[in-house]
Amino acid sequence: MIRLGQRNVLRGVSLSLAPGERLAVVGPNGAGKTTLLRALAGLIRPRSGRVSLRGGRGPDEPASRAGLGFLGHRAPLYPHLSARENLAFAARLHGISDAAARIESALRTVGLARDANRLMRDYSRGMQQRLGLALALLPEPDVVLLDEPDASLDAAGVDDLPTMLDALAPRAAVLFSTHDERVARALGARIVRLQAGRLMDDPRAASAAHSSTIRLPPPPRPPGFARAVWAMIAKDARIEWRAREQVPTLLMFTLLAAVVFDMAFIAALGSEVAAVAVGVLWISVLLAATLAGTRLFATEYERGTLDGLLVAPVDPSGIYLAKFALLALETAFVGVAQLVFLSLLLNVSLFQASTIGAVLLASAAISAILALQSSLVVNARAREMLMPLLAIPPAVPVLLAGVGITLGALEVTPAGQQGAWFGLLAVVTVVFLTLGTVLYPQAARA
Amino acid sequence: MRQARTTELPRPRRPAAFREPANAALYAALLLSMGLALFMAFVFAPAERVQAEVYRILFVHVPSAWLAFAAFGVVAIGSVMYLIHGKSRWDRLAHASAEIGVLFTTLCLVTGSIWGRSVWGVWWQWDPRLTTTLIMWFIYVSYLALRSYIDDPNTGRRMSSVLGIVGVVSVPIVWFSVEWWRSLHPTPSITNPGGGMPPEMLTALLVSVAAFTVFYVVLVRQRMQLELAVAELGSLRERLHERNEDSA
Repeated sequence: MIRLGQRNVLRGVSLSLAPGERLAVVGPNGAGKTTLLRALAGLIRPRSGRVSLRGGRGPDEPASRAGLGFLGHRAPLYPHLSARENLAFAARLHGISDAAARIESALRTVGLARDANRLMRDYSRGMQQRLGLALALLPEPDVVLLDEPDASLDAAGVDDLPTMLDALAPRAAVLFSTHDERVARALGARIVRLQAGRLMDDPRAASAAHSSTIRLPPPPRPPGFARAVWAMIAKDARIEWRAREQVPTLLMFTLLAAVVFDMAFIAALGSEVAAVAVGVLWISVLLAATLAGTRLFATEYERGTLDGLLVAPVDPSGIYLAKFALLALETAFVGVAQLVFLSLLLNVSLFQASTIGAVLLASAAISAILALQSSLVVNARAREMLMPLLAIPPAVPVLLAGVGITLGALEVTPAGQQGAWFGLLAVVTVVFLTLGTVLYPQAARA
Repeated sequence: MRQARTTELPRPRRPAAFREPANAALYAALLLSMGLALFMAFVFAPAERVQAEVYRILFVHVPSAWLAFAAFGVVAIGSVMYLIHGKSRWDRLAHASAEIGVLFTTLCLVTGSIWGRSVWGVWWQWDPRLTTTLIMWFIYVSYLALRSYIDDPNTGRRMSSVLGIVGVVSVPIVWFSVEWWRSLHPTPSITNPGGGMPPEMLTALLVSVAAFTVFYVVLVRQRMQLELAVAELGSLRERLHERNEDSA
């Protein structure tokens, strides 16, 4: 049974599929087709009942997702990556060994070989859907879940669907939803009807009884955890390089903060320039990290690409760690830039080894906190308003430690306490990284 | 009644407030203990040598602080149990306890501020205990905000459970702040045997802590029952809706 909100969306749905079998779930809007597919892909937790892949473990275990291909309502594609790059990223997430050859063959099969180097944002909806199919079928899955694969395809695309499936997933058990029974018949699929969350005809009678005699190939080996995390960081870095969504705006924000805060405080404090510089440095680091942190998971969520990461055979804590690393890099960049700006604008010697060390470690600490909070607000209304409220209170120790270290470096306070402040930063980083690694997988699936 | 039978909807559980024996016993205990605590605080405990009468705010301030800690501990326990077992009962406990915890933290900050005005001469000091308490208050206000900003109840429960676990990190920091940093705030007097508090005051303080604990239990139960009623109303509405759909 699956509930969304107060509503039981699915009740008593029981399906089983053998390798090579195709099953179409047909039903009107709101029948629960999408919910069913998302539950099978492990993106929604059922309240009762269970989903088992390969007759064993459920989709919430990374290893069992190794043989899973999923295409939801929106293909999980990054607009600033080309078709080939999107496939290459998926190949790295799924630990595909002969990636280059398989990507080329997938591109040819879905008819996108000539457009492979174009960025996704230039693709039409139909082309995106074709690429989404290639993406879902790239790992040669033995279980394929497709939510309305014919959606936004032109007539030729719909005609090509059987060829694509035959070529890319010949032995797979395919379960897909559609409004159109003709599509189901063209794909040679058995049809079940879903209405108001219930199956109209029980498919167990018609199910392939000989399924136990079919031998399954061993599932592909999931990629190493560190390799997958690195792939996600590299992907975000490449997107940032192309889209320039964060770094230039953060840099301008930092400079603006330096100028505005300096003007506000200098008049009041006059001689205490060093204290002003330290305050401005840490406030702007915290605010910049909050700004960047709000978008950390939100962009993936809005583009539908978070689903792509979650169905990959990687422990979700890897997603948290990759996002943490990205935010830490951005925050450190802002902090170091601010050290330069403030040294120039206020004529103080902030650019020192200990202050740079403080900025780097504090960036790690703040990012460990914010990366988790960012994943919590992803489904919330008004997340831009909520994020500072969630992020800033637990970041206060980082602020205090940063201020403590930099005041010591500028000899406003005795330098002896810097060790303790560095210790505090290290403790905060370790505690929140641990909490994030353990708790993010809990927050990742609704 | 006839209509309820024909729609075959279950009769909602009756509002439990004063009817269940456990609740009646709790309310009796609350009345008695609060009465006793008031007597102890205002009559039994002697006036303080230096602060005279104003110190008596301690009999509200200390129990509030204690229960804020306890409440946030309960939030963490409820959150962990919810994530493990997925039973919404645990989430209701965490939610109720967080609300009451914020209430007690507010009470603690306000009474502390009033006391500070008369003893230190200022409403607020940037003292470790005060500052960390204020941050803890913010953390749990943000917990309540997160809950109310997520529309899907299941998602909301999961996300706030995570935050409920993260937030509890603040509790030991507030607790140990007076020992870790130099603080103006008086050090613990109950757990510290050499605290120097006269036995009458200590007894009165323990009684008010007990009374406030009963108060906390009553409030949490009430809040959980209210939440349950809201959930039941929602599912009754949904079943009515489904029934209408089926018959249509």
